[in-house]
Amino acid sequence: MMKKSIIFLLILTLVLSAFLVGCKPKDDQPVDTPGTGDVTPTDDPADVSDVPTEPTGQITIGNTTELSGDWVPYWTNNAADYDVYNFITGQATVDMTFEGEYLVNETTVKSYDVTENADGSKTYTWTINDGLVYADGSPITALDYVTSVMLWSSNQVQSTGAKASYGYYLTGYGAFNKGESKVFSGVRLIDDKTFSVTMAAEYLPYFYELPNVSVGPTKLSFWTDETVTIKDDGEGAYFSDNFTAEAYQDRWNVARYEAATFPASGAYKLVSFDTSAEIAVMEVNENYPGDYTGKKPLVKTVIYKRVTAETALDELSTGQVDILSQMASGDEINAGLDLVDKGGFSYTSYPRAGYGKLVFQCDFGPTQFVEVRQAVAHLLDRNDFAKAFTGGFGTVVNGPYGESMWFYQENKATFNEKLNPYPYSLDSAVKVLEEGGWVLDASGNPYKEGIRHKKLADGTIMPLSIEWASSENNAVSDLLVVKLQENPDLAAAGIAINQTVMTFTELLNYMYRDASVDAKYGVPTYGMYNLATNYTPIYDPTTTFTTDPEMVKAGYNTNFLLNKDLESKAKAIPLTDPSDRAGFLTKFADYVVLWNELLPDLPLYSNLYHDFYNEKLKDYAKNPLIRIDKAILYSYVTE
Amino acid sequence: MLKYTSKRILYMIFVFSIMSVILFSLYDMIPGDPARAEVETLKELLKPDEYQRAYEQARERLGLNDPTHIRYGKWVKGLLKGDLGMSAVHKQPVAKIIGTPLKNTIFINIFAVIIGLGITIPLGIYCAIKKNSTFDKAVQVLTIVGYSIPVFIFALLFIYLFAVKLGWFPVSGMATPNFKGTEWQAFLDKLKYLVLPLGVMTIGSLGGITRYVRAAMADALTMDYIKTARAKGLKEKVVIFSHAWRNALLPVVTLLIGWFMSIFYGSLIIERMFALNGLGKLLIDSLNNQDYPVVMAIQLFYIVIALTGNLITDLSYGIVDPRVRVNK
Repeated sequence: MMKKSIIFLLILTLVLSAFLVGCKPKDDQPVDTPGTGDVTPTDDPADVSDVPTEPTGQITIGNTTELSGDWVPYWTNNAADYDVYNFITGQATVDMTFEGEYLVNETTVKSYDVTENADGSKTYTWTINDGLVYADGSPITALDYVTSVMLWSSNQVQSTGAKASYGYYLTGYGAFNKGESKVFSGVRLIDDKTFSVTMAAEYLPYFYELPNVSVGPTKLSFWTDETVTIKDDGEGAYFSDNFTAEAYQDRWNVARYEAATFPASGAYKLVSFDTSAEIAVMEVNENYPGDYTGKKPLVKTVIYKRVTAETALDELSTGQVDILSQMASGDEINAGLDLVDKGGFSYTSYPRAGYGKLVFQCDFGPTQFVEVRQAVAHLLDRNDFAKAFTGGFGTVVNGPYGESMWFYQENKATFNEKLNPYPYSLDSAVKVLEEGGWVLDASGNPYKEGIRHKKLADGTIMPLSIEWASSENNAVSDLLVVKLQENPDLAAAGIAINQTVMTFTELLNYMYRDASVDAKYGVPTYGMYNLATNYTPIYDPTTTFTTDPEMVKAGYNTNFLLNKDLESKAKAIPLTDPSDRAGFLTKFADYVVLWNELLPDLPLYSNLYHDFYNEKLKDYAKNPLIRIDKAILYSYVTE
Repeated sequence: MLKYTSKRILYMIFVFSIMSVILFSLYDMIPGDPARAEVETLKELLKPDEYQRAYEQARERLGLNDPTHIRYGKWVKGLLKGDLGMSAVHKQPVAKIIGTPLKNTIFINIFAVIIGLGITIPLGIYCAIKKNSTFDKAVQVLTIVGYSIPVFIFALLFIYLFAVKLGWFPVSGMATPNFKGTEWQAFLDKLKYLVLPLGVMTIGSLGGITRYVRAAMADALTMDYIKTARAKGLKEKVVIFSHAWRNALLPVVTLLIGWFMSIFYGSLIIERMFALNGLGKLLIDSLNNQDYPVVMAIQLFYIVIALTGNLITDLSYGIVDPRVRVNK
């Protein structure tokens, strides 16, 4: 009897195992694709006759990020909520092209005037077009634009834990934000259609001037009530006295979660939000005048829902979602490409505007010496690392940029010529170390084997032993152990890397040397960290390599690389007149070339994102600079 | 009984107080700085003095400048007033954040427990009565398999089979987006989304309870009083349900009450796999985000549930078995 039970159990286990094997995707091998950075739509160009003249159809966007319903980005900063926010807000004075360049939105702006003031500040006077309205039909006036700057710069909302930096670059922001002045001198409410904002002299010239003077509408009565007003007696805009945090904090905590009554000014309006299911339903805003080109949406209903990473592609294949954006792992991308091969689905791929990296701290220990940083670069095969980590869907960059950025693209030839890719080479690593004086052993005799040492100016001998802080449960760290720390060539070069695994918060404490949390963090301990970085369309490294002791102490320069030349080159980039495109390109190139030589960070991989979508969606194009609301605005549905 | 219950409640309050101190101290020791996490994104924008001011403001608002015992006192004072604190991530009162996931978890688990008990108790009893029959052996093997295979494997299998291949049920979620219909239709729509997670939860829980009920019942059926009852000529149904089951219930009662209490717990795996906005997922997300006010509130809630469960279990013993009835 017992024997029969065991046989039965074995058969059952075999059947289950066979079933499980059968469920596995057929091909687990990553498909290697060249990291060209080109957008690669696989569907044929759409037939123009298919393009609807009126909004039609429905599209469901799946996102693995939690959708909390806290739409405005001032209290929390959830990526999924922010996507919805961008769908429902618009009609700003400045818009952005697909390439990430800013321009005046003439759909919203009737006319504008730029005045250079005697104190060096610059005033943008905006006159908005007639007939601008919210989705509910209520008019948009200059007051709504002034409200955005005033409300989201105010001390009142900031005191409730909100970020209030909307008008940061405008004159008078500091006094207004601190509550020292009730008047915001850099904001003027001129009449129903006209308002102005004045950019402070200290931030000029600034290449990204336009986004800093861009203003969108906010309905004051929605965030307060009809009794609060904004006035201007000639010195600047100010709130009526009844505008206090105590009076309106409860209203803000409700308003920020409003769905159907949210005063939408963008291409879509919110119809509902299901908190339990985390589903936001949006319908076309019939009153939206279009983006800077006048483009209006052609997809009638957009649904945004949370999905789980494990089953996201199943949701796509079964039609429960129509778009999955920014898929990054090799497994996901291969599964998505399998779907595309089967038919009914398309994809678009584009490089990430950022990368994973090794961060070096350059003011103590072996990593303070550029030769050591360069030697580490030579001892990590970054192409192999990127291929392994991204499953073949990634690239390697040699400087602080993403491949999609126009100022990288237009400097590509220069960079190919001038940047050192630090090819994998034990010989090169040994050579730079010897040039750097790492030629001794522990006793101070000429180096033969083991860990290299260097005699410092004070006569002490430093071992080439790098302390590395890595966060727990981190796949990059695990791969770095195999590809770098345990690489026999690293030992052959005489370098030792000691890994310490810790929580991400603790890692940040060490990296920022935040002694306010614990004195131990204030002591320089780790010379190397692994992290990642992402860029926005505004490329501004002004404070990244600051040598100002106060700023360094506050943790602005996380590399602690105190190099005046690099600092001035970094600062120079955004201090360019917006019209001087060539100047910006040159300054960026100068900075990158020096950065590449000093190597404060070592870029490891830059993912090649894939957006997979149902073929019913046409003209869907994406890149890392634009958001999904922009991509949907230029798409349509055929069913 | 009343005196015993009162003493137990006092004991619960004492244990809860100790646990709250331990919990607060543990999370207080974890390295991290919620104030810095809050203002970190402003660093690139603000000047050092402005950044420092924003940081100090955040520390003051979050009460981080107070010594630990003062913060503990404020926290407990808030708890007594029903204030669970503010979520550092959501910038909302914790009580408000917990509401929806807790409701979802209770909604899902009520069905799971009812279905689970509806299957396991009759099945366990039947297997005990038909001990060593082919059916009993088959159930034993299947319950071992169900018990041994991790629940996420079942989840993946169910999704692959019933959602992807057969298309009978949705892959994940809790409702059809943009669903239009009556409230009853919306309820049915919700149930359609819950079939797969409930199926997985039921399969995952069948093994343990079925085997436990079977073992307790099998033991009870071998007792002398069962032989006596049968010898008296009582009907088999009366022997099984009135005599054997009542005695078998004593060891099973802890398990059953524990399972009922699990209505309030969330399952990270099920909630994650099926994208359900439940308490288990909230707890893990909050731990990952170091949102400790939320974590502590959920864990305190679990402590209350566990203590209440223990009390109910002990009181139930008295109801089920007169030998352990408490009159003091």
